[in-house]
Amino acid sequence: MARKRSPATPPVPTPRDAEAALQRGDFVKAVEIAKALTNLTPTDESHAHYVKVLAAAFEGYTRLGKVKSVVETLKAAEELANRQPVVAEAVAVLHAKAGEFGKALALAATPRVHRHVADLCVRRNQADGAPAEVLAGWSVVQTAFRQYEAGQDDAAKETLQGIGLTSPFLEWKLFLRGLSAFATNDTARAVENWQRLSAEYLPAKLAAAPRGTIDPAFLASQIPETAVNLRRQAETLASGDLLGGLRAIQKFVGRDQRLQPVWKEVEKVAPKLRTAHPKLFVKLGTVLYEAIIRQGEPTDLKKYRTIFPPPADDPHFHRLEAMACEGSQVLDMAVEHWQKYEAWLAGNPAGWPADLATRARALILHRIGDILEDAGLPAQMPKEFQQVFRSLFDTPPPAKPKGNPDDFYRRSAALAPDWPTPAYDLFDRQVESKAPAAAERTAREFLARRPQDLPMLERLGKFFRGQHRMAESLDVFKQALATNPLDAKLRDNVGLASIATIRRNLIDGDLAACERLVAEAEEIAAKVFPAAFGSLKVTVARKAGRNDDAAEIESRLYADRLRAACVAFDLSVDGLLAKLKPAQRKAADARLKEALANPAPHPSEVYYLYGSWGMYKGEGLTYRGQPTHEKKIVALAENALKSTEGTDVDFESMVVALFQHRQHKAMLKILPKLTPRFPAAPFFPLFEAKTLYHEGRGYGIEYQMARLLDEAKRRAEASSVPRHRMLLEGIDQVRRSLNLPGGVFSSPLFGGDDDEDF
Amino acid sequence: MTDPYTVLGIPPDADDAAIRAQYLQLTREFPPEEHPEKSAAIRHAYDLLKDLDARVNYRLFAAARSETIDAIIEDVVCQTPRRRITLNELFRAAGISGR
Repeated sequence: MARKRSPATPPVPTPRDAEAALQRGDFVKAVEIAKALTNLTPTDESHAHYVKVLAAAFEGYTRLGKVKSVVETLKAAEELANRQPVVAEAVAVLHAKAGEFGKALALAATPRVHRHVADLCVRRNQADGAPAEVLAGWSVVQTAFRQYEAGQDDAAKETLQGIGLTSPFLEWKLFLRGLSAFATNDTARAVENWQRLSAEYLPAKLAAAPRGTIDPAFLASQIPETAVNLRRQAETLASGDLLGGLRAIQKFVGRDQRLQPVWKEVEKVAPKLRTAHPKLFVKLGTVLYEAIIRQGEPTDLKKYRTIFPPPADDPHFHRLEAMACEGSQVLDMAVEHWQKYEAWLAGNPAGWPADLATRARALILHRIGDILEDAGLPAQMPKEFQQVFRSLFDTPPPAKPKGNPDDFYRRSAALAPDWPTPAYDLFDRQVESKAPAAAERTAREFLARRPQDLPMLERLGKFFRGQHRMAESLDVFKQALATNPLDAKLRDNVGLASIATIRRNLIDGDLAACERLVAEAEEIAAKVFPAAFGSLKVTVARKAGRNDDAAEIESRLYADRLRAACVAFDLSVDGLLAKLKPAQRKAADARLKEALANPAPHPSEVYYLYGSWGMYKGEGLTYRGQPTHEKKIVALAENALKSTEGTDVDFESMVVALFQHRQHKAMLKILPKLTPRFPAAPFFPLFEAKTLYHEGRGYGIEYQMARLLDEAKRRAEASSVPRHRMLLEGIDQVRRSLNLPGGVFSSPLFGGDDDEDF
Repeated sequence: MTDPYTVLGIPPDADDAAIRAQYLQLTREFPPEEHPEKSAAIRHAYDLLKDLDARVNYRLFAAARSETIDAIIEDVVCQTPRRRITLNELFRAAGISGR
């Protein structure tokens, strides 16, 4: 026989359920639970709880303005009080709060109830229906408040003597005495009075905000939310509407949103601020000036002009408009406004001493140059792009600013001859735009004023080298090195320029010049480029018929095993360029042929060899067999994989040499073999990703790069080698940009400019 | 960002030498090991004003940023003298209806 299932017992409610219902604003449920609890266990405790819940419901309904519910709650409370006299006073308090003084006092005419009656009289500012005990104090308190508000503190104090210890207005007496002390900066007395207030009555609630400003312990005892609220109340009390208005402005300023709604508040606040705090009014103007630059629209400036006077530094708002236009990429307008601002500064405005104004003009002209330079990439946006732009933004694409950056850099440099930046920028632009004569003139004029300016000397030295004007390059680099003799890069450049100059003279047949230059360059060039310089020494000696000297130097050069192939290469090519007799070149040619056929060269041999080949190319020299040499060197790089020698650093150098000569195809054969060969080195997967970008095309390339970059990152993170760790930042940057369409391609890691950093 | 002229206590027309002298004086008064925050603020202010280029750059492009609405609110609170608060204002501020 199946057992009969007992019916499910409903869960017994607890006081906590009633609290939870109150918390969520379900007063009906809360009252229901509390009432049920009194029925289940009719104790004093449960009745007290029921009254507490009724009081909370009463407060809640009053707040919400639900009159009917307030009445019903009071009725329930009254019924309870009739049955349970123990809760009569608590219920009487509710009636007092509701203004039913008669019922309240009939239930319990206690001092507590009287005080609540008194509170309601003050709150309503009338005492109709109040009992005689209350009426007596009511007029006293009214008078005392009037006196206090009129600044008659002594009179108010005197009046308050009429409130005795048993008066229902005792709390109000303490409150007013504290308020009076607060207004006269008697903080200690204010705190002393307010500390005696009972939290149950209204005066304690009213005193809380000002008390919070002078009684840190009181503020600290509040829950954070209340403390914030009290601080806000105190701010409002301290400065009336002014602070509220400023807070409203605060919500808009410095955020990524339109400024339009802020002006209503500004219009209200500004006159008050100008009267009460003239200096802060000016500051508010500055804040909104800056806000317009960052968040503004043209209408905002119109509003601003109606409220604030123009700033002394920008009376026509050209600077504001220029910066705002820059921010919104309306560059043609930005340039126009900057020009107007510069013209204003040129008119010797007040507050701008001549030196400051001139430098400011130079800075602005330079800035215009930069804007034009940045905007100057495509001469005109292609037609199809213009259509796409129109369809996306429903507006024509922004107009390209008009003007030549060179003109602005030049004017800037002329205004501030001691400021190098515009001269550098002008020079760089002239070099890029293939105006060598103008570039040289810029540098020469600048160096005439600042002959020891290293950045410009380096620029000019490299410029001459690029022009294959080796002797001039050497002179400039020597000048730079004289300024800073310990600069290793400058020493390299002097060595490089010396070698190139000697070689030019060798080709030209000026043996005397070669001998002189070799002697001069010995100290630097022999150290930084031993093979190239040694080879030239050998060739010059041979040309001069000093064969024994040549043989002696040659044998010393070949003693460096890793540079031997490179020495053979230099000797062979220099011999050819110097038109040595075939017999004089024969030995070097043979050694070179043998080196280029090496089935397993050391990676450093390849690195030095390719470096030498690149040196001729960099000097603008060509010779028969040059392309073949390069092919063979690249093939050697692949052969180097068969070598059992060479560290990861040696292979890294070789890979960098290949990359510099754009040998991407060879790199894509070599790198996948080096990655497993050196399992801890992050460089190889990173460079494979880099090479893939340069060489690879087609769908999926980003995924391959992402995989390689992940591997590079894993290795860099696991490594304790500083140069591995240094790669991390670059790897992370590219990894992040991979998530963006085309992001990886615009990353500096792939841009080419930063290649030297690897 | 606080106004660097105020931080260093120098007039707006101070020259390189005056700014440097004041900076060194303040650095002696507020050594970094004893006043890390103050000395960092002094250093930052000095960087903004140390030479003509820096001063012009600051005046043209950054001076406006030295003012913030937060600082204005703070100043209003500090500069407003304690005043006689009326009962009605207290009721309003506390959000208690009735008067």
